[in-house]
Amino acid sequence: MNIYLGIDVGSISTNLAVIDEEKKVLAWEYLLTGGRPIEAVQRGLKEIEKKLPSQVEIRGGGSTGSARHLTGILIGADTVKSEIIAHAVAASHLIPEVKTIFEIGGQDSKIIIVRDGVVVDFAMNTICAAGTGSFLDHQAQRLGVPIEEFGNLALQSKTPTRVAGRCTVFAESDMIHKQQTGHATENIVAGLCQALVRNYLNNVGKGKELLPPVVFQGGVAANKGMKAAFEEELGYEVIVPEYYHVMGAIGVAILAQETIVETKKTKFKGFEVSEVDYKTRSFECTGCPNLCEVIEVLMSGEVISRWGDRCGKWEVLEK
Amino acid sequence: MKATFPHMGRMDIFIKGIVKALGMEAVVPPTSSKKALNLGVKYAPEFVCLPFKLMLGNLIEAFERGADTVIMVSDRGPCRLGLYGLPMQIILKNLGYEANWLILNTPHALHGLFQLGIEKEVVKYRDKLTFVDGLLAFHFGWKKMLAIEEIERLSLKIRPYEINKGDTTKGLYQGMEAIESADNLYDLKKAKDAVIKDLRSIPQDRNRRPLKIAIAGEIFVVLDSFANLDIEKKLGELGCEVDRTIWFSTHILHHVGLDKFMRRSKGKAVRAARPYLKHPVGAECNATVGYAILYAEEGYDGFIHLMPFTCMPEFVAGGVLTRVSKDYNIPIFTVELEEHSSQTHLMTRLEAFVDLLKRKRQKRQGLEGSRGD
Repeated sequence: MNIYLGIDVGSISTNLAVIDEEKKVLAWEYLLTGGRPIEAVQRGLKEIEKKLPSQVEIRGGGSTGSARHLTGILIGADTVKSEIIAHAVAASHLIPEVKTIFEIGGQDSKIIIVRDGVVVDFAMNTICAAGTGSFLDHQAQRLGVPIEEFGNLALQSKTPTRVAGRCTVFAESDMIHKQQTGHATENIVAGLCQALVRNYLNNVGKGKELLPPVVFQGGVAANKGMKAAFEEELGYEVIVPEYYHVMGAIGVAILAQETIVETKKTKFKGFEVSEVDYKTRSFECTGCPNLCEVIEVLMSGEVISRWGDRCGKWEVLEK
Repeated sequence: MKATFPHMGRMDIFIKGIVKALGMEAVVPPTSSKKALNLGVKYAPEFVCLPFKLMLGNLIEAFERGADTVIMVSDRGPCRLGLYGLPMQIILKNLGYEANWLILNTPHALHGLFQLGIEKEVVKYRDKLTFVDGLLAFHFGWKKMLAIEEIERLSLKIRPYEINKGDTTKGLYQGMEAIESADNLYDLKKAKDAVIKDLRSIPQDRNRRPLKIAIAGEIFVVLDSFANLDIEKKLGELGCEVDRTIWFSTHILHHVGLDKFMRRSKGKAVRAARPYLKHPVGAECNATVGYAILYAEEGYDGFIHLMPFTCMPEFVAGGVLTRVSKDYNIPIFTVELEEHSSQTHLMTRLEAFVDLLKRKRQKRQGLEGSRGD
């Protein structure tokens, strides 16, 4: 059987997905990046290999997410794409009539506008990361609510508390204030979801035409309270797809399949890369006052790639 | 007198050209770098825009190198940059840098040059300096500027075709140095021709069909590659042919009213924007909107709008551009630049934008192809 692998390495989670020629998802893996992308990718590859049938041939691989370039070099990716395109491709594959995609991850949030299966516009949070997964995680911890329970708890609320949502720091102090004045936890949690949705639609979604069907994906889509708050604010159903948390990986696997149609031969190095010794190190270039921090990737002690310099004098290694 | 000036793109070449021809001395601040930016950020008010911070950093570095006179081009608002000379003067004075300031905000301010005693300075360097010498010096600086712009334009055209990533940029930097060191018009011409020949001989794959993208917005961040995080280079290496809407020369020509007959003059852009903006908002705002329309009509694939974070005129333009994008079916991407802007952050967005344009074109061609069957 021919299969395609997609890897999405984000700030918080590393996701892998394997699809077959018909773009059906065969296996997926979701693990925490923990600030060590190389290890996460290698661990993920080991895990997902166990879930696959024995008679498979990897025809292609792709990488996306904030560590896409590093991952691409690591695994020998056939395509390296930004998250926006990967998410859009996966969503329009699973829900072909999709017009709007909400994607909220660990530190990024984006809105992607799709018409007839093609991305026509997108926006990403720029100056501020209010309302992303990391903040919800932090607040759940502070309220003593397990993050898995967060959404269910929000759904129990009948009178959500109004929480200031423009800035996460002020949202937090506002929540503390509401707690101290006796508001119930479920109302505060529900109020927080509403505040984040308002903030998201006003900042990321400003000026965009948000038409249904809307697909809501990314780690935060697991939060039923956020889904409910979106539906209340927009007035129509918001679809959370089955593989909402690994959509980026599925998307880039599909893109890898598309690439292979053209290039015929994969550059994928095989599952063995999980055994190879990869390291990264950095140094400060003192060639000019910019003092660029140059990152080097080493495979078994040998430098295979460099980036991070403005002028490009260290980049030449890259082929 | 040791005069200095803040950087804006390669304006330094123009000024250095004049100064060189007059045989005078100028303290050119080191090229904008993280160091200059950090100095600017440290001493500037937090909410002021990126150009202010960079310019302030440049001046501090120039003072450290012994400058005692500042010459600054200015405007009369509503762009805040037009009023920046005064707060900069106060900040620098508080830091202990006393200097003579010449803020050129109107043509009348030119007489300030004489108040500073510039004619005495000039005489010091040359026994007989006539009006003609002045004109010749200006002409030499201007020619140098035009030469730099010509090779920059050429690099934008060649970069999307280059086979070895980075060749064009390397050639451009070397070319700029060669042009900078030319001492007279003859050497300048020779240097320019050599650079053009070198750039043209870069190995290229002419079968590629690059996307066409125009860049517009606030003048400083459009002209200054440090401020805009080398956006032209990044787009070029992603396979796009970039056209810049504002150049130092076109900006000057516009101000003296000599750009009327140019194909893409600012006046033309401002007129094109009239259905959306009937009144001048200030700075480049109206032109930014108009350029988006003009380039959309020319069939460009995409439009990038650069602005410093908290810039009022460009913020207005950004709002209007969402309408223009819809009405003219051209994807527009606004980039807000500030000292925290990161290379990787911008790169992710540019990659996505370029992918969007590519897929849009594929789809359009697919439709045209099926019609042909």
